[in-house]
Amino acid sequence: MATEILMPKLGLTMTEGTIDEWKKKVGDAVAKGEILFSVETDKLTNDVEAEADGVLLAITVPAGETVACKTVIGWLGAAGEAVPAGSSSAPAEAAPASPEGEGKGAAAAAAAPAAAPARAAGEYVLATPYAKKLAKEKGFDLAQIPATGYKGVVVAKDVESFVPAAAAAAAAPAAVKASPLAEKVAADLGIDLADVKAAHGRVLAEDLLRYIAETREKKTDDAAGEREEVKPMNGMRKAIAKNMLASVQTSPTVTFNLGIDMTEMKRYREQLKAKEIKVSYTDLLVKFVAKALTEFPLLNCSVEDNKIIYKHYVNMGVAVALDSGLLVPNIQDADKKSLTQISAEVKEMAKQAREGKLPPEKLKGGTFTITNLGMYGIESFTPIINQPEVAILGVNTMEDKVVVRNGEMCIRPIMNLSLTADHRVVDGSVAAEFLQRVKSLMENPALILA
Amino acid sequence: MRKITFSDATREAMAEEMEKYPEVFVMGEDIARQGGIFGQFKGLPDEFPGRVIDTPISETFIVGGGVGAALGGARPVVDMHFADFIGVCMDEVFNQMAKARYMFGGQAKIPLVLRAPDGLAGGGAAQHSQSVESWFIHIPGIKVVAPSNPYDAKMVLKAAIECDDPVLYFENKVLYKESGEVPEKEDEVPYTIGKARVEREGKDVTIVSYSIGMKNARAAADLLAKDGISAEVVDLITLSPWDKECVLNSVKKTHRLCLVSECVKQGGALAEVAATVAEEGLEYLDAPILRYGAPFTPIPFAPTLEKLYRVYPEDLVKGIKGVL
Repeated sequence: MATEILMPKLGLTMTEGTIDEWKKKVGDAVAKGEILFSVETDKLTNDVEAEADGVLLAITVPAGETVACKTVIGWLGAAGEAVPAGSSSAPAEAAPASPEGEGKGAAAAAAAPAAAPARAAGEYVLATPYAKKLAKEKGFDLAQIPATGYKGVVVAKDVESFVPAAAAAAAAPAAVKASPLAEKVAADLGIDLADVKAAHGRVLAEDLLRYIAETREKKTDDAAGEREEVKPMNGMRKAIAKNMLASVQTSPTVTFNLGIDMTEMKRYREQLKAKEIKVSYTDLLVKFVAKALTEFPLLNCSVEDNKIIYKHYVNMGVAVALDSGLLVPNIQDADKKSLTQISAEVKEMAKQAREGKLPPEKLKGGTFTITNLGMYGIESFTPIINQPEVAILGVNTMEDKVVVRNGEMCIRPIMNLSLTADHRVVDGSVAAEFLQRVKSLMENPALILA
Repeated sequence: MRKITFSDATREAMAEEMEKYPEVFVMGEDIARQGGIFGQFKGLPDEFPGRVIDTPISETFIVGGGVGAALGGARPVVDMHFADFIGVCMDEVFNQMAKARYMFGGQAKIPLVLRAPDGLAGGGAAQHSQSVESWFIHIPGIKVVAPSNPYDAKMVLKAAIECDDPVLYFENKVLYKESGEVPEKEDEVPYTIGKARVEREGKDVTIVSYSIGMKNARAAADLLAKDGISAEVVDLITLSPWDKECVLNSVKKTHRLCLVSECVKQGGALAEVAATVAEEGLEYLDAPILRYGAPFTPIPFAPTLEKLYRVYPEDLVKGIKGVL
């Protein structure tokens, strides 16, 4: 028996998904556990495996389409088996399950008015009462008539302009009527007279001239278009765009910059290295900032409906840049983990993120974020908060700088930190004190044990 | 042809009917001494001494007294000052005026006209701007009319006065000042209560309205014509009993129906038209019925809010283009 293939719900917050790619074609044999298709959510692209052996009978949602979770996207069954009535091979007809279904149906139908509509036998056809009356009078099967009306409904003009397949076939061989001059010019220029619209019955030379002028105009338009290119955003880019805009619209932010003397931290890292414990500055930052966050609950909270939600745990997000965008997986309970645990996790997360294999739960529940642009020599920036968090720490390049210590000039490795905080809950003094505390911890690494 | 205002047209109708029937008289608030707050009775008291009567501020009496006079053989025209005040004399309207002829088994008749100026007039606010016609089309025994231009104003009022049943005559306050062609008396065509008029022929959509709503209907038809869309405009003129045949015939031709009125859309007078077309002409519809009216809120006083409260021709155009 044919079974439905549904758009999976990968995680609690997923409401819709985009088919990234069908790995199998209709008619292909599929083994249980084989990858059937991949889905792009607002966070990730995931491969989805077949749940049973069989043959891919139908694809109802092609690659590139976005539908709600649990929408039927295809059918799996035995070879030669029919797909149950009521399903359909066109995404527009799967509309009821999709929140944007109606609009899309109309757009799809409008884009290809000539194509026979894909409707399953017995499917209810949306049509106006008058269109139904006309179809009945003309003896047309309503199911065969493409819809171009409002909301994808078959309207009277669809019925009036409808040519049944048999009639179209009969009409096709008939030659286009044209004047001898038009025929000659068309032949010389290699124009198909069937493309030329006749103003009065048969195609005249003047119709041909108008056609040539119109096509030339169109070509000019196309040429202008070569200087620009329009590409739809992929799922991750859309998610970033949406989340960044939402963040800016939600949080009134202030960014604070403070230079850290990294002398002691550098030394601390060398000491660990000498004992075969290799950690990055990001790892160290996760550890030290997590400690500071336990002392500043306002930097580790979120805001909802005029309520402040304090988190008694630190899930430290670490921004990972990818070719196609950016992901922020987080280290859960970073405040309770050892430096080596943190280091191992950061490495693993970054690897998974680049390979697109990050488990969805890693992307949820973050309480604070660290984003490092130091490797690009950046000295200061204003990061955007990863909602619903209330602060984000930007890490800049570490550089040897001339500083004054005890009245003497000396050279010290200085690293700037750029903290962006949500002023709804984090006042300037609180943010400054927090940043001070981070500085004090990092300049005196022994304090991490205190 | 001569042009006169809506207000003058109603006065002409009154004068001619008073001339013709000695039993016609008028009563209401501020109509004799002041000539009506919109000037619609000016001059009549001098022309017909004793037959234009100022009353105390008592709507209950104005209609109750009118019903009594009608039962006694007179042909009264009573004025409501503002349609909004009919609530005060509701029992006189829907239990007495509307029922008497029926309850007396036809032995009595109520040839009474209740004139009710209505509509948004710019800052009239919640109690002096309403269009309440829909309340009365639900009441058997009353005829409800609402003309949209000076010529109709005159002919409908004359027909209402000559009618042996009570007629509620809604006259829009803004229309009073508007001028329009009105033929000389000898060229007049009498109006038959219950008849609608196809004011403009068209083939793509039927726009039905009445009273001030016709301004929106006409303006929308003009805008649509610029885009090559041909709208048929129907003026209902009488809301009860309304001209079903006229509307259905038009919908059979255009296959689309757009309804517009100034009154609150919910339960508005044209809801009955929409329901009837869905009931009896569904197979002729090639698009959902479009309805335009006021939002479901009291009429705001603030000019900016009153602006938002109104329907505009562009609204109709947008809706109609959406279903073509």
